[in-house]
Amino acid sequence: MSASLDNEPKSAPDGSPVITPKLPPHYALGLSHLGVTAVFVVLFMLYSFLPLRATDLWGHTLWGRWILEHHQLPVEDPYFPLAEGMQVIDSAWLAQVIFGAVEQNFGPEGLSLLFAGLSISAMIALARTFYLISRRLLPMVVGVLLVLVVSWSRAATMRPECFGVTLLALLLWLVTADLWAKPGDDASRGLHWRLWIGVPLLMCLWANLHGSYLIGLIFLSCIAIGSAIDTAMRERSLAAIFRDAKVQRYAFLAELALAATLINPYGFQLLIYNLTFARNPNLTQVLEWQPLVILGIGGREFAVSIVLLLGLWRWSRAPVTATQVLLLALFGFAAIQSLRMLGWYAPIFAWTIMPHLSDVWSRVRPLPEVEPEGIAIEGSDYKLPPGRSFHYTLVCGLLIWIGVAFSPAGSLLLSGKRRPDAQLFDKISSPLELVAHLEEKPPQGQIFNPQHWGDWLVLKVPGVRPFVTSNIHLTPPKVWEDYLRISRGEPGWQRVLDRYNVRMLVLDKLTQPVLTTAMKQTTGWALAYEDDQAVIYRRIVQSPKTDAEGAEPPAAEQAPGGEKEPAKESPAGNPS
Amino acid sequence: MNEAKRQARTIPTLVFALSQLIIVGAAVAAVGLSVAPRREKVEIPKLRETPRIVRPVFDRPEVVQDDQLKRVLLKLRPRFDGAKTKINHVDHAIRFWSSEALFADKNFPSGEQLRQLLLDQRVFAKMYGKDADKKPLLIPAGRGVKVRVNEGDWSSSHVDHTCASVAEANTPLNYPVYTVGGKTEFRSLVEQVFRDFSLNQVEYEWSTMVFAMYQEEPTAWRTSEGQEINFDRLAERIMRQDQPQGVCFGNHRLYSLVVLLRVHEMTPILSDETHQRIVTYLQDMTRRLVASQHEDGFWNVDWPTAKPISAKPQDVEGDRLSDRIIATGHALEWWAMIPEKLAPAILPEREVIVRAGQWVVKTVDAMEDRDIVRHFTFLSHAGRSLALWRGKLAYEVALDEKP
Repeated sequence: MSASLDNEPKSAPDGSPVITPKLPPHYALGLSHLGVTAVFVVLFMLYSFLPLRATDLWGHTLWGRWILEHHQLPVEDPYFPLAEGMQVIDSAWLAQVIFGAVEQNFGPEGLSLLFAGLSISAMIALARTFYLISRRLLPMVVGVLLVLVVSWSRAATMRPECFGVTLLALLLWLVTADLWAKPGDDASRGLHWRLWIGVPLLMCLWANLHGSYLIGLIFLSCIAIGSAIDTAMRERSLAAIFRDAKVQRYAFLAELALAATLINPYGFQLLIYNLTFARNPNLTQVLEWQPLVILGIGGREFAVSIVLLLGLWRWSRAPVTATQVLLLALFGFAAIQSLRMLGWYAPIFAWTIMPHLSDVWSRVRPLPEVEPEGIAIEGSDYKLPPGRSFHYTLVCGLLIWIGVAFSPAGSLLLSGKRRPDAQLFDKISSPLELVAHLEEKPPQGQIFNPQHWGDWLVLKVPGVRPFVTSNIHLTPPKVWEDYLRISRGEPGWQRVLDRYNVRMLVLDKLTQPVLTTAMKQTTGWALAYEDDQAVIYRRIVQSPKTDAEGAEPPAAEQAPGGEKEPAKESPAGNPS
Repeated sequence: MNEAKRQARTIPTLVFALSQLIIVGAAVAAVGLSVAPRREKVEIPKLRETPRIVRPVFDRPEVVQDDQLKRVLLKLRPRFDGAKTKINHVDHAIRFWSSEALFADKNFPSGEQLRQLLLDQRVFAKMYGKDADKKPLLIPAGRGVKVRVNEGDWSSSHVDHTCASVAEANTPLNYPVYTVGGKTEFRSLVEQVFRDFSLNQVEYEWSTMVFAMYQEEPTAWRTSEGQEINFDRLAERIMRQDQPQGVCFGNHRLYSLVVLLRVHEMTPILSDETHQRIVTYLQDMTRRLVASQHEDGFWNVDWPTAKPISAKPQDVEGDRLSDRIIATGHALEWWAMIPEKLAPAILPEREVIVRAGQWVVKTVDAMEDRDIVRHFTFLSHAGRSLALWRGKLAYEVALDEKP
């Protein structure tokens, strides 16, 4: 409650009792706080209502279930027979365990709640960070919205990366509270231990939750290196670098953070694994690992961020530091190289521009030079800042309550009700009718499926043998190459199906149009199911018997849709 | 705490500089050494210097009599045809006759001559002329040597076929090999099979045999794709596809499985479960073969599912005479190598084998010499199988040649 009566109520001069708030004055909020609260409530509602997109969510959830059941980490993918023998470094094991536990206890809606909670936590941490830099609410909100807009292509999906984003936001907060601390400031109290204990703890947790902890290490290193460059330029002395407190602090902090990340089930091996992960040849064919295209996903947002950056640098009087340049160059380049890096570029971008945004803002709307005096409550020495009232605090609380209560998460928490599947699951990545059919008539043996449905099928159809799943990095390169060949209906695709003894084809009409059309003209397969989204074929006869040598003919020998080409070779390979 | 206070609490410059040198240096070195691409991506398991040779175990005169066998083998002696000699034929010849073969008639190359054509670029160049160095059979590839595959008559017809054939001819790892890049050892070819192998490659039958023959211990190893390979996994891969898919109507898959069973007798390489799965699988193959054998003793491409419809070869793919020789010769060959202990469980009744053996004899007897040359590759399996059913490798049969 925002206000209450003291045990011994004071009296006004006329003798009437005076209500004196018990809470400190800073709990009294203003109209601007109400606006900020409304923004965050809307954001929470937005995240809550987003359907669960099945990119790799179900794969991680299944692994989490497996870990909980077996009390050990998997050494091979337990749900992907074609990847048997592929070594697993489970860099997201803790996130998977959390997903698995939440899903087992609260179902998919629980995961949705976790997603909304993580996302809004990240936004709140970022908001606090930006506030510490700007000391203004509006630039703070602008910063948060900028992060959201630039990273939306990544931010709308539940995955272990969400933990990483939240932890990056917390790291930014911790570091900002240190770098922007002012003597006597709230933020400066207890900073010493917060930084030296908080950062290693956070990094240790991060290393066990998701491989993106490298982002945190890079961030801390950039501050150390950037500070060194700034010091060297300012002092015009290289030796000054080694004397500088900030350089020393962040160098040791980065090293401590690195040491903390080694506390994980794989130790140093995890670091090497994450550093070399992008070398996996399969990833070059995956959209999120491909370079950013200006007119493609996230491209426009990235371009806008660059324009905004240049504008702010032009108009800001705040110095452009080496740390800012380093961070923007590194993360900007990474985002251009790989679309998935947009999710990390966005908060770093907002963090680096915030001092400039704040500066420009302060010129447009300068802060009052003298802190306005508080307004005293009549009959007491209690003063509220101008424009603040506990009424606003109450309304803010009410807004939060409404937001929670009306969200799907609220329904789950308050009444145990969950949304219908059609609303809870993203239709494109989680075809419901398809799995309903497969639950009724389960496939036997190897199936061929779109990669983006692999995890979903494994989740919903027990015992299914997917061709590929979201674990593209665990897919043997030959399998991945064959998957793409079939999926695109490239010449020879039927023989590849034979080689894997595929008994059923599950096709996505939207992303596999060539193959879907080709199958209509292919004999040996029976149409088993079709809806507006998916189609299923079951093998009805043995594969053609003409290829005595078994060798797949050169690519030019078969065309999509072609039933069967005469074997070009004699049975022993070369004509005898 | 403000920056000024912190500045007063910095550690001495030298101490900080040294500490950074040590910490950052150690971290960069550790990461650098681990991240740098390894020279050898595949850790090749320990290899035997000489291959495990799987010898025949049965001697059944009723399948082929001595004089019949000699007749057949005399007709199937290997030949060179100058620049028209096909490497695929040489591959089959070395496997059929082994490196020990010597013929009184010098028109027929010895086993050693066959092996040298495959493993010595100087001999290869002499046979194929001036263009041979531009398109050699053996291609130096980093630390190993690759074999050119499916690029015409001067190349091998199947992945790792040359290597496995030479291995079956009892070639040690230190056997000298000459490439356009200079002298090396047969080891370079064998190790390259390990480096290039993918569990899901199109042809895997001969790679499996190379592994089984040369791997010292049944230790698992990782392919360049990062996949752990052991003999259980190889066996599962071989059994994955439907029959008659695969080279020679799927028969090489069966032969490779039998080789695994035989090597397993020498040194356990299979788990009990996989061993049993192979036995069950081969029993099923035998059941199919028994059901689909033509009264005359042969099979065609439909061996897993149906009998040939006519005694006379048809001019349709899968039922030509050559197809019947493939199906029949290969079936006799893998049956001939079944471990003795498993024979009662896997082999068919005596008459099935006898009918097939006699059909091969009759067919070869009836063939013109030009047809023999044309169909040598298929016939090499049929001829070899007949020798195996007499408990011998072909070169061990006294041919009573005229010089």
